[in-house]
Amino acid sequence: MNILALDCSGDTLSVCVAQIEQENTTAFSKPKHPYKDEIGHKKLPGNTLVEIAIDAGYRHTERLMMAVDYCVTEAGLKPQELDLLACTAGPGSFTGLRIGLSTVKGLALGLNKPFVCIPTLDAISYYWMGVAPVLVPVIDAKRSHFYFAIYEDEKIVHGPFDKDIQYLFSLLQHYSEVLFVGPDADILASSAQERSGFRLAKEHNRPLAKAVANLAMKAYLKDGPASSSQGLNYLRASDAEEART
Amino acid sequence: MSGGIALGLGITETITSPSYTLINEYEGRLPFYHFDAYRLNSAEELVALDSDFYFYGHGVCAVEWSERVKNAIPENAITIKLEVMPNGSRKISISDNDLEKELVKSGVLETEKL
Repeated sequence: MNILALDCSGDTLSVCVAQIEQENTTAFSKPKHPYKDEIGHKKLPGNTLVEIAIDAGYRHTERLMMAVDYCVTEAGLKPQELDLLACTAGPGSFTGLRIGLSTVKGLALGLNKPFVCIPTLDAISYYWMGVAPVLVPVIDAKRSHFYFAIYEDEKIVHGPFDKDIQYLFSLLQHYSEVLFVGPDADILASSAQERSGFRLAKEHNRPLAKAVANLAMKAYLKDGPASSSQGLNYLRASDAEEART
Repeated sequence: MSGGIALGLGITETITSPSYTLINEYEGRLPFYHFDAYRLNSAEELVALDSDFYFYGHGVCAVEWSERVKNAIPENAITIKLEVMPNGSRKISISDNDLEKELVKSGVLETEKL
């Protein structure tokens, strides 16, 4: 399956084309010297990936389509050969999320291809599954709030939330071992230090496109494509709503 | 006034009204973000433009018509109120007293002539 995945939810833009074989057809043997293969621009057997990450702040619109074009071309594909498109569904930068979803929707409509959206916190956690029993992906939501959720055994068990650090640590008080991941995990460094089992992932800000592609294939095979009315999960209660509760 | 802030930040680009674009961005000694909330109807509309990323980021933000989006403005923001007086002069009040005193001292602002 040829998947184009992109993430504009944070200040690092990432785009990838993942060519993932179905489980029952992964038994290809790789050629001994794939890089010397003179057949040229042809897909190697097995799963392949072309990924670009650009950490240039919130300049996504200026770079997104060039990155998409590069990844599709480098993968040796024509846009029509893509089978599935995907982007992050939020939380994250409101503008960034809208850029991502509108780009994916536009391409999906033009190419007549299905698309799916993947929760941003799921995509962040994806890289750390199995590394620690409890994962907490963290995105700075500003105003002393964070977007976060608690994952246990590869499943979300609490959240996602848009809450402050006190709330996060009150939820975590019964956990002995926690790994904080995500672009803004380092904000929690001093608070995490006070608890012996609480650790910070060193390389916590990983480009998300590859995770989005992998999760997108799973979601698509399980639940089918998103509808054209698919929206975003900003996770931010409006001030009016917050005042009411 | 925004032109003056831009000048102070060493921005040479012409400052144009953000009434239609909502936010204009400039590169200077510090990044300068010029907002105009005149076309917005609520604080939520401003927040939906990722205002928090600008307000709690690393640049200088100036918001015109900020009274229209009061709930989205950080508590520690400096409010500058401009009023046209009957004689055509302008009364300028600055919410930060120390800053106001400093500006009067350095001759940028004149004290009220009664």
